[in-house]
Amino acid sequence: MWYFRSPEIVFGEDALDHLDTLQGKRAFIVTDPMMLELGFVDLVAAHLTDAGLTVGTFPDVEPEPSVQTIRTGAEKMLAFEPDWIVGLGGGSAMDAAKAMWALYENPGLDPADINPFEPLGLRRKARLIVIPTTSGTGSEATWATVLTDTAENRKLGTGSPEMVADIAIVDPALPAKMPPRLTADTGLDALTHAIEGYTCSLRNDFSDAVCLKAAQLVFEYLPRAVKNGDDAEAREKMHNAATLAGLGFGNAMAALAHSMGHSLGAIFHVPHGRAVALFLPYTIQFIQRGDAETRFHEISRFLGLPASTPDEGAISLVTAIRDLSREVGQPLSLKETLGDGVSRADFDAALDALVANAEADSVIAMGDRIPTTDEVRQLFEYAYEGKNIDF
Amino acid sequence: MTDKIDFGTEAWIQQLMVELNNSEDYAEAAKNWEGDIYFVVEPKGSQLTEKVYMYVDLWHGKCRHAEVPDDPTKFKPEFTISGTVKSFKEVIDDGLDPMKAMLTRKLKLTGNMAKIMRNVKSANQLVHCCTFIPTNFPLE
Repeated sequence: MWYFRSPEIVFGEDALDHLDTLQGKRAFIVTDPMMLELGFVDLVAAHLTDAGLTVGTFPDVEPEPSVQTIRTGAEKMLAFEPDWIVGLGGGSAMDAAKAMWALYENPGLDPADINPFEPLGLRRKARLIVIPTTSGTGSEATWATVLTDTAENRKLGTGSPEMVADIAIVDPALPAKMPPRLTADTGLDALTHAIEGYTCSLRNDFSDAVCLKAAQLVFEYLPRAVKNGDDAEAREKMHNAATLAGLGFGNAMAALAHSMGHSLGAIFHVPHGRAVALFLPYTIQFIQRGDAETRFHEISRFLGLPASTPDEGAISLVTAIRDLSREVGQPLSLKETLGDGVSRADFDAALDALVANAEADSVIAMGDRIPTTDEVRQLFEYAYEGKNIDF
Repeated sequence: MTDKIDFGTEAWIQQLMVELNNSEDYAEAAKNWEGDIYFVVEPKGSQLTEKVYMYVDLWHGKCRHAEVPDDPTKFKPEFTISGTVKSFKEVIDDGLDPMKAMLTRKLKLTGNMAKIMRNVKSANQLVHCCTFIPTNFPLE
């Protein structure tokens, strides 16, 4: 027995118009300052007002939202008493909206206690709409939320199947203003979701289908979206790819690249998509060298890459990911990612924490090869130097 | 041919203790784990006549104590994992992913969930050690 969970997905041009049809009284928008600046909050609020709803806003979600921000937003939500919650923005805003919603429905709940095994009893007070403005996080389609525990300097990846949004509005007009670097970071995040979703231990026929399509769309359209942000077709396809990949890994799981990426992001504040995509080729090589049967070659075959054997397919996929990353201006090694501001000594000093954080991330155990502590350390070291995995 | 050990018995939990303490992989994966567990086996659909409580005290990659107590109130472990014999069999014998078993509520977990989520590697190795025990599951 397993489940495939999905919000109602409204996609394509003018998808935001769907908000005009909402029925309810009070909507609370959870977002970040950039959305205010870009005018997206006003745009969404206007639709909600047209639908007859009173609108409140919490515009203070920071990148990698902290547990404290979640508590603050939930308190404002409790005072406003919405029957719709609207998460507007990138992954941080949508994840924050989910977690605040859980606290709104369960006042006093510790965000760290949100888990997929115990009922949260959501939807007694409100339902959730998510509106992604970047094309990559997939949060609009998943029940996961990633928060930052600033006290322990680590990411807190958690969630509940109840936290899948009721409605996801995937309107390609919203990501159209993303700068090239953000387009690349988020697009490669989507690719990592697609590949890890297809190859993790909880994969299934339903998630497989959307993962493969998402990967294909990213390879085809991400370079176009990065090179020309006004390429409407590329923007729309990438927006769809991100949601498809979200459905894919959201109904399966992420894996090793995500555990390492979360760890890196918490310590060195590398953007999530850049971090997970950086590690992806290394983790594919590592998993392929293990004893378990793997499925990377199936992805390669679907993409039309050489894949006459599992090993050849995995190598083809790694090469294709690195070619794509280079084409869209992304780093291929951790040294390159961290830049001159972080010395080798700084990296070495952080290595114990990087390893510990990665090992404490539940998705580390979701791949076809689970690394030992020493192997996690080696993976970080090889990725730092940009060396192919040979263990 | 090795004799099978009945699931839910003192002999079974003692064998699990042996397997855990012999496993380098478990020792490595659970080196930071501190916590004791009750496996609570529900009688529904089995030859058991009442709930069985199997206790393990796990500490830094080793099993310090294992027991099927006569009185379940003897221990107050940090975690309980409850399910029917059939559900435990699906995980131990039939390859059902333990995370999937818990997400579908076939196995019910109580305790500090955040701690479990930070220690999925050790939980997987714990289950892996269970698979080494030649087990007879007392289904109906």
